Amino acid sequence: MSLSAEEQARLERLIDDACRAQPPLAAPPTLAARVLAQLEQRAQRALWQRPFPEWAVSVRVAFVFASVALIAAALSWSAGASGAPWIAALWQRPLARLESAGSLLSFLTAFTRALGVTLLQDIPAFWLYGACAAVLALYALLAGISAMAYRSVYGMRSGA
Amino acid sequence: MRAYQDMVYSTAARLLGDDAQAQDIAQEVFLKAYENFEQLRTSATIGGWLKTVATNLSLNHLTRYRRRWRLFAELPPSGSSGAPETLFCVPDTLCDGIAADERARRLEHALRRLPDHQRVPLVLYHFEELSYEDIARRLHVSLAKVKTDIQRARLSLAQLLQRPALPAPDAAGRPA
Repeated sequence: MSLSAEEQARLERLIDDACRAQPPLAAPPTLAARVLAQLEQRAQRALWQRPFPEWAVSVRVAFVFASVALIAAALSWSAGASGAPWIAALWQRPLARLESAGSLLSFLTAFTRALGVTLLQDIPAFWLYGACAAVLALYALLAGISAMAYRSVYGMRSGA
Repeated sequence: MRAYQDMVYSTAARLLGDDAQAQDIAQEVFLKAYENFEQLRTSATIGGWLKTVATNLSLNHLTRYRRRWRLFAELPPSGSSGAPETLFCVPDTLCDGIAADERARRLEHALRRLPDHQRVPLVLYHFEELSYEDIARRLHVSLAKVKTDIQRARLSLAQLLQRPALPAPDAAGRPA
């Protein structure tokens, strides 16, 4: 359906006038109570239940250092227990860099790179690609089954 | 909060077309305002800030949440094809001779009957007073599509408003 320019302008003016004259909708009386309850609930949360950005800076820094130390200790123990040289190599090289550069960022970069190299070199490419393909196929399968089930149930309810 | 809650809720409800989701968005807006309380307490533009946040959160909700679940739930409601089906002569006035309360109720109800792709640009243009260009940028669609959708939305809205009576929405605010 096509309207002339004059009709379009008149329609725009009519709708604009109607919208401008429209009063705001009344918010439900429960809204303020909901917000206050949510604020109270947030205030009562323990530290570990709050989002990481809300932690104090000192606590965040301590947490990062503790995590890195824990990972290094776990890798060290794994290398000693299993005798696998690649595990030791995985963290010893980055750790040496940490000592020399004294930078946590350089350690994390080197660690990530060493992990990537280990994954690419020591695990056969066939297994890596195969695992990725299997994960994707499973995801698509589950999403498809869920969508079909949801649509069936929703359609039955709508038709009822 | 009480001074702005109607404005925030209206913005979200008109964009989303759903009362329950509008309440969630309004709640989120005021929680964000609380997080930025120190900046906002002395600000003269707190109303504008709240409205902008409500608009942004509503649009994010529409583009992220609904798109994510479209695969599961996209069963188009009846009569939501978008294009007006019958010939329509643009009247000189809308809802002439109807009480203001009833006219307001009809308009809100008619807005909710519009499909998302028509209601959202129409609300942004006529209620939030954004330009066509801004709407196209915000919705990541072409300028031509924005103009076409708004034009169709106006026609659908005018047709719905010219009907003798509209059924009352259900308890959740959805049209019957």
